[in-house]
Amino acid sequence: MRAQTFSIPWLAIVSMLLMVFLFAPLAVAALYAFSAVPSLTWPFQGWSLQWFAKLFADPGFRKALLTSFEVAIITAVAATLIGTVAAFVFTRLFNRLTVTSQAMARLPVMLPGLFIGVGFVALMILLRFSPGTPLITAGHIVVAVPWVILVVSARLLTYDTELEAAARDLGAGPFQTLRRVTLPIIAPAVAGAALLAFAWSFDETLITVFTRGQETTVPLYIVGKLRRVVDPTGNAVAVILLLIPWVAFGLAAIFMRKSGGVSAMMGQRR
Amino acid sequence: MRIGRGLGAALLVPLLAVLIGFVVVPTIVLFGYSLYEWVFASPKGALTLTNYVELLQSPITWKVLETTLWIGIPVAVISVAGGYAISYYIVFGQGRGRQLLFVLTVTALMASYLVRVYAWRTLLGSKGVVNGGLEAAGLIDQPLEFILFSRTAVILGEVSLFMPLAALTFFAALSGINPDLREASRDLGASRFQTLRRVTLPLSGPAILATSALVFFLAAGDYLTPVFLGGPESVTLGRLIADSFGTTVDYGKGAALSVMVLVGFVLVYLLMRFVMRRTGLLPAWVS
Repeated sequence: MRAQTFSIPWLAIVSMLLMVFLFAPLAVAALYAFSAVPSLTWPFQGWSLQWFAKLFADPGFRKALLTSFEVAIITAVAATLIGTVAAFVFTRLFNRLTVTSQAMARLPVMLPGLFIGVGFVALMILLRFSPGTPLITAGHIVVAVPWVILVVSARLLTYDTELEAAARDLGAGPFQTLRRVTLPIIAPAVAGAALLAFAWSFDETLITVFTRGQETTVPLYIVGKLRRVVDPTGNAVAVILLLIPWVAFGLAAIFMRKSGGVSAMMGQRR
Repeated sequence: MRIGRGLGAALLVPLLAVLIGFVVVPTIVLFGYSLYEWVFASPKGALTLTNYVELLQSPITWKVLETTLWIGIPVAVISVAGGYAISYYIVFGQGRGRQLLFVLTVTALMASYLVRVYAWRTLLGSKGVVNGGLEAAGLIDQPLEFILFSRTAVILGEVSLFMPLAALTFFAALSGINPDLREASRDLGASRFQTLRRVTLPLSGPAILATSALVFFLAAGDYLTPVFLGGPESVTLGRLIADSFGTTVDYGKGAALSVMVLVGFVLVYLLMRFVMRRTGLLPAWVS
């Protein structure tokens, strides 16, 4: 601890500058969603909600919003069921099958969405499937499941398994133990995982581009309509696209506050 | 509660069905399709290596590879360096800012992928905040047209995509380092920089390797940022693949290019491991 109290905290300054780099574009883009004029020019001129009004007046956008919610809810339910069951097995049974499966379950996180997306195209050609909501959902489940496994495993690894043994000693059967002891303990983590899966699905773009067919989700609404046009409606969509996953994620963090909070959610045990 | 072998296997069926059905099998099918010539979006004739030969002979492929490297390498280097700095401060730093910084990093990771890219357009547009601000300050007379729709814009966009991810992988790696080792190094008279160079960096070597490779791979495969922020010259391998399955409908070439990028990635990873071993950033005893 030599003279450290007097040295300039370079690292803190650099880190905070990097945060400015990450958040400044988001803040500016969000600000212009409330612009009074149609051009995105400096300086910012006045406030209005007309771009949100224009957006919600567009049936195409309302449809996209509905599709996004539908897909994200189905993804959250399916990914949470599949991932929670898998996390149970991964934390309690260690053999070649479980270790291989666990490694395989990390693939969708490491593989860029593009390759999963073009894989879906290949699958559609082979099986003569047509693109649309079911395949969009399948793509989202693939990317959401690894996060569910991560979150639920983190919880299963830290809680006291003696509680289960105690329940068994007191005469509870395996299903009674599961229902009355294990599930209530991990329920907040499972709810958090479901919300995280919802958030991940709502924003998924890289795979959905290939599985969409005639459908549009909220991110694809930006990709399609506003590719080269710069107009505040795009910024209004951006605000919605930022807020919905953030709210879901914030709720997840609240649910999991008692079981380690955000750091537990990121697979970190302290 | 114990789970038996049979029950465990049965419970994994849904997960394996999803992974095999939607990731493994499609990748194998993609490889198969790369071995056919395609006419009107359907495979024709017998097995052939034509797609690979034509891609390797085409100057476009090499140009696009060059662009991918010119984008992917700076993105990986900046994201890894920045991410490392952030998590180094969160794990080893002092002060109350650490908790806030962690929350901000996670929040940045959870910020919409598309919006993080799209947001740069408002900032960098020809009459946008950066140009308008510089003009108002009298620093420039005309908007800097080269900022948006350029390689620089793509790099900025992708760094904002991958730096939070890099920071969180380093967060996990750095919190796993035994603090005694760093303290011992300081006690033995090493400077802070020496401790970083000789103790902390080698101990986080595997994470640096894995994260650099991951970020490079994600950058190479990201086709949205070049479309949104890039100019006509910013065609990366990811964008070329996406186009061949979209606008240009050349599935055979797209499939062959996908296979080549996936194989290329493994080679890049092995090369990086070799270089890091040589430079001592990844001592053999760590991995």
